[in-house]
Amino acid sequence: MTAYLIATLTVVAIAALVGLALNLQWGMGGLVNFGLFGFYMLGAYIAGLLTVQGAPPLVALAVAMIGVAALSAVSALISVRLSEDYLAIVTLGFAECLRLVISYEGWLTRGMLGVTGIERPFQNLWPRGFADIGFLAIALFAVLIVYATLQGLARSPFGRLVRATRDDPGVVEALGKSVLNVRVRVFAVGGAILGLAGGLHAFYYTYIDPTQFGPIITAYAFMAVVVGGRGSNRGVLVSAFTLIFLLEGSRFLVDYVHGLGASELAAIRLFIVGVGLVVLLIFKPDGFGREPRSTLAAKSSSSL
Amino acid sequence: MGQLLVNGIVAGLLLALPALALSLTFSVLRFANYAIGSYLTCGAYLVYIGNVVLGMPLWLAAGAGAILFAVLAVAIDWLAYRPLRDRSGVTLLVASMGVAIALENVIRFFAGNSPRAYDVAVARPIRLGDVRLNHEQLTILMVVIVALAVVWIVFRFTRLGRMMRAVADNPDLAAVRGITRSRVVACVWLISGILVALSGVLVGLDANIEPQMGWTYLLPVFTATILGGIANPMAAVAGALTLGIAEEFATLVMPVHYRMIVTFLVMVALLLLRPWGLFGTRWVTK
Amino acid sequence: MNGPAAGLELRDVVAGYGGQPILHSISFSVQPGERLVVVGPNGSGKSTLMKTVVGLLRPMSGAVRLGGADVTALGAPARAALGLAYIPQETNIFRNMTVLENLHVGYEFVAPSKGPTFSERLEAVLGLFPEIRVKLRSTAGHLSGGQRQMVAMAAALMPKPTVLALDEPSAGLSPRNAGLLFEVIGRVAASGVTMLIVEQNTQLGLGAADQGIVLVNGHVRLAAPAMTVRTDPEIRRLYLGGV
Ligand SMILES: Nc1ncnc2c1ncn2[C@@H]1O[C@H](COP(=O)(O)OP(=O)(O)OP(=O)(O)O)[C@@H](O)[C@H]1O
Ligand SMILES: [Mg+2]
Repeated sequence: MTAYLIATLTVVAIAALVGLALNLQWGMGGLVNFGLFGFYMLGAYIAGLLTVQGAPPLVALAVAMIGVAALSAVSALISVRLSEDYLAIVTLGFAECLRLVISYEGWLTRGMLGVTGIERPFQNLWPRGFADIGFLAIALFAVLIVYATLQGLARSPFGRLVRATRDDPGVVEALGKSVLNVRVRVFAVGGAILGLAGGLHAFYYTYIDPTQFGPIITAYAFMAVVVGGRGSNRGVLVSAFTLIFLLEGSRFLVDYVHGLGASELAAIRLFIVGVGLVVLLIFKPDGFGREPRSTLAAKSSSSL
Repeated sequence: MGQLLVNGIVAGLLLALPALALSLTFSVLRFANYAIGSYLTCGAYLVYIGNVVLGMPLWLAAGAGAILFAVLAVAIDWLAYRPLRDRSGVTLLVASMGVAIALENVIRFFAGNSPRAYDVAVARPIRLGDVRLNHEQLTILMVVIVALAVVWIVFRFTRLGRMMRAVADNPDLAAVRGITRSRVVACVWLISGILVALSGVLVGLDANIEPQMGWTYLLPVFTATILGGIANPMAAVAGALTLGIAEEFATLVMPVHYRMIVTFLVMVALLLLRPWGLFGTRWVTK
Repeated sequence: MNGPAAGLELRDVVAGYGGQPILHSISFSVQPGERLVVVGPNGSGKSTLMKTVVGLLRPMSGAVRLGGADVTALGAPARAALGLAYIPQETNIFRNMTVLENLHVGYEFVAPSKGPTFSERLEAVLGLFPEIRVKLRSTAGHLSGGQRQMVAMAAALMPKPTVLALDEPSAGLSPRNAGLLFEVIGRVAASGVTMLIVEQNTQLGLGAADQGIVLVNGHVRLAAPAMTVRTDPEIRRLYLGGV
């Protein structure tokens, strides 16, 4: 039971990171990223492959963060002259292509066989039998750091600029600030967080293959942000550790409910997420949390 | 070479119907429906029920399934999209993603993940010189061309067509000229529902019926639509053909499983160079 | 639509965008067959008034009556079916459709089935605007500004409306064409159509009208016979920039 709880919490912590990344990009920045899972997958593969090659896990993680940040920035650049609608399809395309390359370039990624024997950071620090708890601590620590960073960012002048770009890009342009620049930076920072989350995923499972990375990652993240309230980092954390916890925790029902296999349960879970997204957007568009902002910006609030 | 061209045209025609549907809904609702991939899957499975479970002949199952799905598309619009119509476009995007996830998992729940196929007789391919054309391809060719012709005639020469084009062009003016928007919106969903469901059947004939089938079409359909200029339905067809042929010829230099990358590169190049689309007139907006 | 001209009346109408009122308690009435011109500075709410009249904007309070019936709850298509035609200030044609299609759309969704046929109305309207006859097959968006204005006017007249709401019909026209347009407006009015006109060119507008209203900051500052508004030097100095 404890082992089960630890496992669920670790998965939730990683999902919370993805949620926080999306909250920066979409919640604060207004930029829809439908390709979350691709960027996350890239982070996992960079971290996993580098550690297997003998790089220290923390170095591998740092490289993953930088790499994903760079690619995120590039994908934001593609939609330079376009509205946010196009960014959504570009990120989706990017993610799909990443998945294809990773699946088929076996010489580099071991393709469908997957990467085995990935080493976790601080693996030898914990006493026997406490490896998973130790890793959970690392994951939670990462969530804490990211949360603190994002809170700081939300209150900084840059945070104000990001929200202003979301609410009224025209005004930002008129003030002589480059909207493109803001978008690219938001995407890059979000990408770094996604790289971190992906890296932790690789470390946690110590084995990765392309089938692990599906749209469920994207779905959970959108759910966390919509429930938590767009722009509210605290809301995202709360909804991740309640809602996603419940959804993930429902995996154990397989052993209890007769006639429901793992894949049926997964389908029900995702169905709930999909319907929940629409229902919340209609009836509770601001979610249950509140966007942090410095008092100066509080006046220029917007409901969208 | 001839074979590549034929395959490319067929691949393009497969894209043409969903691209037309996507562009139709975009032009009237200004909303890019990310659930269109799941719509395609859903249509394919509805027809599968008629064809395999209920034992109807495929043409009958396709007709019934397409109409049923069209009604479903209107219902989805009423339940999910209509309440969000006045919100920002991005909200609708996310809602359509929610719809996509929900639909796809209803299918997974009831039908499982294993691929299925329609109940059709296997026939020998036709040979024209050194070009081979199998029966599925022939069916695709005919169905798509007929469907496109019907849509074109409706669009150009009927009251309904003028209604849709008027709302797409200038919704306020259309309202003061007596056109009730909600009725046009329902018609648009009906038409695009039929088109998407039919394309689901054709994709199922060409390959398999499985829960992912629509998802793999999402990117090409969007790319084809953007190629045509997203608010320009008939040009989306030209976009689909171009993309189908480009993908097919790209197999000369790239492995087949990288089709999607070709699609993506086409889209990126397009977005950087000609974001209003490759074809025809620029939509007059000044 | 068929039958005699209908009157138009607004009673204590408050309207605006996003909960912010732009129009404050507007009341006026236009008798059947009469012409009322609304003048006022830019941004005073003239177009907002027109949108409220035709049903594109729901008033926050107050009532709109058309031909004696309360139409406040009706949307724009329903009001159009009652014989109210409108030409917006901007984008008043379907730019991606041909001129003929524009006229068709103007006719087919509101014209009563028992009334004159499309071709009868087409001939009648082309009689008023002979210049667009040669352009029937052209894409409307490719026409010149003056031609577009004529197409817009022609499309609005296609169903033989009883009340016509015109938002700055002379905008972008040369003085000569503006004069010609108002000649047509005069002829249409003479056939008994009730008219509500917003016009920048106060001389031209008020010259063609029976009644005049001066709208400033969303308030009716003055309502008087058009002749008075036009000629009273005090009024012109105060509200119309002394032109
Ligand atoms: N769609 C809208 N949303 C919000 N505010 C609007 C909208 N349309 C107009 N306004 C505001 O309403 C006020 C009145 O605008 P309106 O267009 O009615 O003026 P007008 O008298 O027609 O001006 P003009 O002579 O320039 O045509 C303006 O302050 C304008 O900014
Ligand atoms: Mg105006």
